[in-house]
Amino acid sequence: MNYKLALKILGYILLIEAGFMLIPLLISVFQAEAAAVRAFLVTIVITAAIGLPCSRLKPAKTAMQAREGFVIVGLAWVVLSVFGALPLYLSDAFPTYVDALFEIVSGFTTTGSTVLSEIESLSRGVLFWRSFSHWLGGMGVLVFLLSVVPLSGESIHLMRAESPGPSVEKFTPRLRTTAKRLYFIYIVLTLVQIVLLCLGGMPLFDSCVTAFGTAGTGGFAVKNASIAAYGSVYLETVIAIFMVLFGVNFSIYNLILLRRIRSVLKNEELRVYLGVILVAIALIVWDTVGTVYANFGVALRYAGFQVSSIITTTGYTSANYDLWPPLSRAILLILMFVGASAGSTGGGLKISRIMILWKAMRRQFRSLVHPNSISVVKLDGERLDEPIVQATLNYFFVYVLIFTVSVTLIFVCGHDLATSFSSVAACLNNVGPGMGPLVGAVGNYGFMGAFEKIVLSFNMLVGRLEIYPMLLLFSPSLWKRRGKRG
Amino acid sequence: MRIVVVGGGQVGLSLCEQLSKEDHQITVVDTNTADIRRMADVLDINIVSGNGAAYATLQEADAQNADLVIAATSSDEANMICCMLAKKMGAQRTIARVRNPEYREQLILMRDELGLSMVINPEQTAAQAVAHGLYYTSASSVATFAKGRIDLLELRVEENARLADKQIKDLRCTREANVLIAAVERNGEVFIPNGDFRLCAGDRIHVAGASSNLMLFLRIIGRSTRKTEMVMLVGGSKIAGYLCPLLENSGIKVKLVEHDAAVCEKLSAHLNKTLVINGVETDQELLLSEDIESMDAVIALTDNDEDNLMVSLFAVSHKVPKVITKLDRLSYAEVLSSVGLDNVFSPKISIANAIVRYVRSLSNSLGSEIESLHRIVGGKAEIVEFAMTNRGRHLGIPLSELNMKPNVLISGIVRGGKAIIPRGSDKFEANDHVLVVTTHKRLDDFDKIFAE
Repeated sequence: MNYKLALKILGYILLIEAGFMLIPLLISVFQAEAAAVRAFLVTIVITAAIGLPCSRLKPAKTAMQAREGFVIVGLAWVVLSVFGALPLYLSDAFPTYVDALFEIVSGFTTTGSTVLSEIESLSRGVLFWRSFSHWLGGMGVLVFLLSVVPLSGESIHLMRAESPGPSVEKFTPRLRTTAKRLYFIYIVLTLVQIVLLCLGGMPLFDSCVTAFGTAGTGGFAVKNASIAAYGSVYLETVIAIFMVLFGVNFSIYNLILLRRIRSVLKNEELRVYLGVILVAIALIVWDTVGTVYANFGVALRYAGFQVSSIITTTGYTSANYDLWPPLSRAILLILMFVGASAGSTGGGLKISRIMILWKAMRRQFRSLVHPNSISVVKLDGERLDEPIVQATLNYFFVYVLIFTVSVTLIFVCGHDLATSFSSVAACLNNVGPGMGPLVGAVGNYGFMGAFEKIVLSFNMLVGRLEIYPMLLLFSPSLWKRRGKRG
Repeated sequence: MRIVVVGGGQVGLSLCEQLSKEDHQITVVDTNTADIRRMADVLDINIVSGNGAAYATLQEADAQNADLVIAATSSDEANMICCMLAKKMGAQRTIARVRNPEYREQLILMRDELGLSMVINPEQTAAQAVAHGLYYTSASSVATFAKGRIDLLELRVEENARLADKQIKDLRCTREANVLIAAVERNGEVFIPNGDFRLCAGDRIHVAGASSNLMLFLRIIGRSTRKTEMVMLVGGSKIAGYLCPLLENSGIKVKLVEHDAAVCEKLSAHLNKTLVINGVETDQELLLSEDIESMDAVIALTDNDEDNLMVSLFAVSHKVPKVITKLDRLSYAEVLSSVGLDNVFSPKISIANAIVRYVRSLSNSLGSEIESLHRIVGGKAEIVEFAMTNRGRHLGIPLSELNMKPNVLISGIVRGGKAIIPRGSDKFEANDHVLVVTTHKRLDDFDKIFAE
């Protein structure tokens, strides 16, 4: 491990965090929220005071291996959350530090699970910071760092460790220009959404916060009743469409910018993603018309919104889906695991991983029937390298393992099985609200103990960073110094 | 600049390493996905896997918008097709690696026809460098600047030698011979010395000067200056084919050992005076019976790095004054000087240097032009030759009054065909060629050597 390099990058991360906290600070100043102003000021001073000397370190070696990439990303997110939780705690909005930590981890990992039942009384600064963490966590804070600070070519490992999906694609030869272009697309889409929401009569502050939640596919809202509070078909439609858009692999937008429309249309993951959304909506509409909803239009409105919200793992709610028939709820539960596309801001297993798993399974069947057959797994008509297939299979195993262990841990704390299952599913997949009366669409996680909150926080980080950066933090061999002089 | 490099072999790799450090946008194309993927792990480059001579692959690599396409695969034909295609698609400039001597004649025709901006031939370039280096028997590596008017020698400071443990300003020999110590390498680090710098035994110094002055310098410090008369080439690779005629023309007697009888026949048909011997290159008895001990220089040129190392070590142990070793993989170069192998070269790396120089001169400004570029100590320091135009901002001012950045040394000025080793009172004039030694990277503009 190159400790100095890791510290330096963590220092940069803290400086970025302190910088971004200036926005909620200003908002609180304008709103004259004394407690929040003090909380943000104290946090910014502490964060910058620790970050600045770290970022000034001059590591002797700047070479970075895959392991440094994983560890730095894992640590960066932990550090980001630990300091990001401070203003929430110091402004007295949250009863304990663990609550504040849960909330901000839920923010950065774009999960959207909250411990509060009453959020409308929170100060504006805190509300903004909570949702802004979605926006920052969605595209990734290290990707942001890569776009502003020139680092060595090996920092591709940072991007690989932070970006979701089985393989990471650079669209330009330079990492920095790729990172810049990702943020450019991200910012433009967010701004368009803010404008569209404002046009629908949503107040500017609400529009910004809602757009941040959509862009990061997070799900923190301004109202207790989430999006349902606005009761506007227009706003729900805009948000639903943008949730779907942010769940698309960002390289698709790059291809559109380059006018390579044919490659876009050929993209298998995009087609499956949109196909799954349409089928899920159709099934839920069919299931709910006449039972829960009076007519086709109403059913389409709620089914469309909820499917977009759950598959992209955003977690906004416009209806209490816990009242839906079992089939519809089962579909939503499956969508939680499926997740959005690779290279998007969404969570879950990711469509492309499911496609690879599916194709690998079919190949396995074929080789059982025809032992001498040779076949390769293809994606987008091109051969997928065997290591990627193996890594995906392995990923799935570790994912199931973590899921099982977490459910067990929550269960033994005395919660019922449905709650344990769906809370872990909602956190590990970065969805937010789970299923059932307690953690479902209208519930929250406030009733859980500190231990469960920490387990779920860990789950959220594992889900957002796709397991390895977090798990490798616990691997002793990773922390060893290399060579005699390290 | 947007650069597409086709071919991810040794040349491609060292090109990408250097060019990506200089902030160019590189895309590498190769059929071997595993190789280029490893490159993308350590370098900030994009990779495209596929045949670089195919339209679809070049299109994926965005060759149509590239400023430069460099075709450096192992196949000459593929390189030519690739460049032709890229030019047609809209690439600004193309460079092709063409090695086969049979194509050499037609290259002049092809350059225009195929729209090539530059044709590179690593073996030929290397042969020229080796031939030039043989001029000084007792120095290790030699680089030439300003069309041969200034040479740069690399020497090791021996124990108890005249140079050891003295400050540079106290050295009489450099002043007498009118040469300049441009860079000192110690424990893998490079220093650009000023007058107070103290030399130690074991340092490797780089000395610049006109060739006659360098000879004088070598004589003063007690090194052998006798002319190279007999050379043994071990291995009949392509470089040997280019090198032998060069050596023959300068009156050196050449013996060549090669194991492949067919290659031997071909070489002897093509050469006039060279004695071609058919035998296993690593056969010590053969080398001894061919009198390796009395050679002025032995050059190991087989296609096998290990064989070259063994032959070179054998020659060193038999006190051959100058042993030159060709290595394709230069990763161990630093270890080699400790076992007495000082003259190691890699044609693939030197050709990459030539391309970097070309790329840099494409991107520099109008006030000066880069004529040549030489890297020492694995690229830790560079010697850059600038051709001044009359637009330079620093003409006519004595050097002592110019405020230069630290770690920059003006090590030579060539004016009207004459080499000047600059002192504080010298001035730059228009049309001068100026040699700058520096540890700053990416010096692409003469003005950049001055402090703001």
